[in-house]
Amino acid sequence: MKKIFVIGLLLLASLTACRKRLDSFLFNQSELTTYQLDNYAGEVSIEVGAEYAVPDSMIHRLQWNLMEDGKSTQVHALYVGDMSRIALDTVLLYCHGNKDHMDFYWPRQKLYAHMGQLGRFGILMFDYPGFGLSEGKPTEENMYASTELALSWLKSQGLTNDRLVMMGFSLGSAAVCEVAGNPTRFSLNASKIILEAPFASAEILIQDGGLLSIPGSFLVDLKIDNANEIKKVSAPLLWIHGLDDSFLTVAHHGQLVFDNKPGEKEKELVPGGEHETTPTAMGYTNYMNRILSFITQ
Amino acid sequence: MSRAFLKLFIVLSLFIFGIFSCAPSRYVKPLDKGQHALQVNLGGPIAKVPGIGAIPMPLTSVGYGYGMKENFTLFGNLHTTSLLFGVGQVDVGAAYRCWSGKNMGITLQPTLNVAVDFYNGANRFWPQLDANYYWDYNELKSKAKNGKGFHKIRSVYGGISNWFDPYLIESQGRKNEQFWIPSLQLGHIWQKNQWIYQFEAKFLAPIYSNEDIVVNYPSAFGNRGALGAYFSIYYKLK
Repeated sequence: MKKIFVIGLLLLASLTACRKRLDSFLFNQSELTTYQLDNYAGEVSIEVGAEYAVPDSMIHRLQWNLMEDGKSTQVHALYVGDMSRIALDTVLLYCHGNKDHMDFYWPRQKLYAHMGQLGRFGILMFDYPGFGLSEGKPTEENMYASTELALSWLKSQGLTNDRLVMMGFSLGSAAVCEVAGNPTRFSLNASKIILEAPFASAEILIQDGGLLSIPGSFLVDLKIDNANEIKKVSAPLLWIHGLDDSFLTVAHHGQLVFDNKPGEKEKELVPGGEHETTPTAMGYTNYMNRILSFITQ
Repeated sequence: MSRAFLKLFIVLSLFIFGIFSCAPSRYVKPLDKGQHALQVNLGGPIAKVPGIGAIPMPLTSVGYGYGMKENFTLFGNLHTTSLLFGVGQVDVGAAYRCWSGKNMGITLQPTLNVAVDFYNGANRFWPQLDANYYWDYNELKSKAKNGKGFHKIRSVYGGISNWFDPYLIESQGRKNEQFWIPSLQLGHIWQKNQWIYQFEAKFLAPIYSNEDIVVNYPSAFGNRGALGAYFSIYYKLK
């Protein structure tokens, strides 16, 4: 009996000692050997036509070094626009969702590059560590660290807070809220933020997944809490969300973030829009004009 | 549905849905007085997993029961799947036969489910009350000369399982709108001497929508609830 008790205790200790965490499931990244952009044949976020083409001369492939645990890893980024105008004009920093890599989101970047007119705004997008060609393993911390690299680079190119707009889609909303809610920790602070299909918090993701009031720590170590971070944000917000988003629902996610945001805020709830299809459901022209009017007003 | 977050939600939803659905009704038929029993349970909600198909989740628990009286059994179970996440989850309760007739009975299983995060102390408890009607539709006895005869009983049962989530406020101050989570179950029990095999099909939370859970749960109620399948083995100690 004593042996059984000891073996049971050891089994219990071994089971709990190698605690399983589901944080990594937040990141749905894919690696690449090269960015193919228009030649990418895989699944993409949205399909856009030839009218949204961007000439090669406007596409700039960037690499930055991220120091993590004493090791240097590369983060890859794409800037679309005239780099010499970063010091003069408005730039949109786009923090993409949790899927694949920049090739997946490239059509969105092209769309934003056409807001107003082609090249009206510079559009910067980057891959979080572990996504695409960016090295490393994705974590919440290095997602924020890579965002800081993007901000730091923009600052080095002459960008100032008043001409920076940050946009976060889905997972990217965490990066935007982290920066906007903690401006002193980052090189730049956006003058306006746009959140498309944001999620409220890791804990709400978990509680929505089931029916019970389960603490987030039961499953994840993630600290992402946009619904709280947004309370500290003073920059004006545009919230865009598809009403048919059954994945991150309006009621349980976007609405919470929006309600908690103090000060200036606007919303665009899109009938027929699912998690990834808001631009399509709204119509690209309407979608771009809505963002444009928010940025320029 | 976007594939974004899919991996996360497959695991999260199955695990979470599994927490209140990770076991069948315990001791639908109470043990004899003074009887000890060990049990293992396997099964959970059925979900369509991409590339695999519809399968019951392999959630496990192990437990012990003791017949205090002829109609009253105490039991406790440890949920081993939760342990992998550093969460100790146990259920302790009793099975009480409140009515009995010829080859049949009605039992109640009041149970307390407790889950504790070993790493930060976060904890939750959920009371549960099951009620089941069972019918022994077939009984065979054989007494061999060497004394190693057999005693077989086959039973069917059906009932309701009720979970209660007493936390009024969820994350971000959201009002908890699922105080009562009922499920319906149908099962079959094969008993041969010391061994008892129990299979149970459960209709989980049929009053709640399954549409925002992302994972595709096949359900007998369309866009509500989910199905669960469970298999248990009991061994009655001599």
